[in-house]
Amino acid sequence: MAKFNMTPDELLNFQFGAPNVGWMEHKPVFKEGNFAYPAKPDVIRDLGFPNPREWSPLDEDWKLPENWMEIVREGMKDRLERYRSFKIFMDICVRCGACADKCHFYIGGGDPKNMPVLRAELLRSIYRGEFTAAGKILGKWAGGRPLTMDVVKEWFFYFYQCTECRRCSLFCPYGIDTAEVTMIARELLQLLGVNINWMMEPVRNCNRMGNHLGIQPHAFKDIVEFLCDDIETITGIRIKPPMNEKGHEVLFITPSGDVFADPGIYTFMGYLMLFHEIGLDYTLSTYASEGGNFGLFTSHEMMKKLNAKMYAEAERLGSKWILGGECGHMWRVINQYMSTHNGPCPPKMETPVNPITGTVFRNATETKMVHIAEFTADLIRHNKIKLDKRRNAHLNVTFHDSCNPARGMGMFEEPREVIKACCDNFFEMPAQTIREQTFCCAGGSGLNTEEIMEIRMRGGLPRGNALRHVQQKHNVNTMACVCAIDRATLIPLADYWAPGVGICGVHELVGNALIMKGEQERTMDLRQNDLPYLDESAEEDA
Amino acid sequence: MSFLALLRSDREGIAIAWRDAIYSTYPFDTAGFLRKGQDEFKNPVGVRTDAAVQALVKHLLEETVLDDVALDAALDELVRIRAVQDFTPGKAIGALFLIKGIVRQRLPKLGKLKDHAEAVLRFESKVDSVALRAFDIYVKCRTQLYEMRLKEIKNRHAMLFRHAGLTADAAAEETPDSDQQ
Ligand code: SF4
Ligand code: SF4
Repeated sequence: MAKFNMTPDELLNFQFGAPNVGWMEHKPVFKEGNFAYPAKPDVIRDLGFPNPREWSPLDEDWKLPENWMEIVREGMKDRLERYRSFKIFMDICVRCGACADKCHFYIGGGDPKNMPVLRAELLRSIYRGEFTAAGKILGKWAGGRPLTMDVVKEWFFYFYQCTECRRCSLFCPYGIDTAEVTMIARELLQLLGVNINWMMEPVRNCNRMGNHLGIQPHAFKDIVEFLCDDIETITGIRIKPPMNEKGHEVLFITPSGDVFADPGIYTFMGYLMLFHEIGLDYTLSTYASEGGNFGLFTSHEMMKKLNAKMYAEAERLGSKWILGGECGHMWRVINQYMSTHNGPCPPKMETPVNPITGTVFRNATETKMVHIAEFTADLIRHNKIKLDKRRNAHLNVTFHDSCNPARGMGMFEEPREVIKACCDNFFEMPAQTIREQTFCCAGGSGLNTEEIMEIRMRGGLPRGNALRHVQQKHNVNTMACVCAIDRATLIPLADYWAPGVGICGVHELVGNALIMKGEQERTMDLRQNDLPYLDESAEEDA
Repeated sequence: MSFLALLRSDREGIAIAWRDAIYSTYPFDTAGFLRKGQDEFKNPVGVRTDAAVQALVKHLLEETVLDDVALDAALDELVRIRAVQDFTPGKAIGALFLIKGIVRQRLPKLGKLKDHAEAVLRFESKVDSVALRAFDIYVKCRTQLYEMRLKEIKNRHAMLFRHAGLTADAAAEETPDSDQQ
């Protein structure tokens, strides 16, 4: 009976489990689908970044500069001196493991090097090996290792599998923020010309044309007009949003995904309808036509440069304060970096006051920027807008806390208040998956590119799993969010893990529910689908 | 006792061994994590794998099998995850075949093999057909990934297509009889 007694591995005749080698020895294998494509040489050249060239992670030779080791060492030394947080994060981890199972990429994928502690260790081991006396002498025994080409490849592999979501930092007793370790690691890779196109092309476009897709002002204006056509079809009201006009109280800046991408456009329509209805004195700008800032994922310097246009445009147009749209990482930049990068704000800007309610947004005293969810929640609290919830009655809604507004700026209540004012059927996902503990969409920090869809899906499992739970329990069919990247990335995530759940921005719900003065009877929602409640009331009448 | 009844007497042992064998297809540290976490939101891979194994054991060991919908749902629970993890197709689906080795290993303790040789083969054929269904689901998941990639590109540029007159609506207007082609 010997042949009936085969072990599973023998039975399948190949090694089934993972190779049992130490984590440092296990090297990543690059294959289509597990890396994002490198930046195109012209993009890198336009930006004046180092080492533009054609290369592929699949190649043995990554065509690094000859003195690449020196560049990394110098780059690391420079950053250890400049960023005290980085030095501390390199020194104080006690490897307690509290963060280990908190990363969505680890939870969904199972690769130990996606444990935040090991992700950071990829860099920390080089820090020890190169910069600490113990590490230099004792090497591996002191947790140090030498800088080799394999290390660079490993950095590229794993630091582009971190969405800089900061979930891990929430659980670290020392407050170590692996997202910041990733930011530094990516900066070091940038010095060698090791980067991804999905990030660098938007950076280049933003740098030159003001928005990620590089859409020029006239096309931007045309597209806004298309959306105004749609609003007119739906409501009978023609809106003419001011564009690049001087002398308005408010400058409105939103991610360009709201203008160009489906379903962001419906959120954008919601903003315009709201502003029209309350008579807000505002202007859009084709210069500051992008709230998003992929510089955050590139380098501190690039983040600063791309962010600078917000104040520059407010100053040029003479706006008193800036209202910002539903975006994730835009708000991380504003909340965490803007005032040190580009502050103080232009002298004529003022602490934002809601012109309709008189509320002073003291939380925005420093930056002069208010999040649209705060603004609308304030209008609702003061009963300044009329909302017809029946138009959203067919939606059972849950809310995805986007990592940056949640963990990067602590905004939890306002979007929920707005949703609940627009919809009767609101259901929370389980507590360990929302608010501070929210699970990432797995496409943040410039990883929302389609060539790594399978990585995004495994990283998206924790979010998708919680979504499926409320779908099954409460019949949830809509997940709202306040982030333009989420509005794109959550669509495949939901299709894959909780099929049947649609994605929308919070202000799409507002636009649908908003009762506008002089509007025609609404028969369609902003996507121009029939409003189901009308059929139901017609049936009741009959 | 029938062969299946014999296996049912060791049902829990078989399920645990199968589940653990699947967990062991992950790196060592991860296998431990998958085994210990019971919270479905903190450890979805572990909990879903376990749920799938329980359902499949029922299907393979009971006289009355799961209907197609229930069987596919159980397989989907396992395969959908493995289809996006770092496995080759063989290793993703191979998780199903592990049950064969487990039963072969445990059987001598339960009864005399030679009394059940035919039933063993029948059982293994059942495993094979389950694995074939799993293969269909695997391909469906992988195909879905590609479809989602395309859809994402379209969504991202929705207004640019419209601006350039390239939307489906515009195309349909230009070729009114496109449906018939
Ligand atoms: S910041 Fe987010 S993605 Fe990066 S290691 Fe921490 S939990 Fe993972
Ligand atoms: S929780 Fe903090 S101290 Fe503990 S292993 Fe993670 S980073 Fe290190």
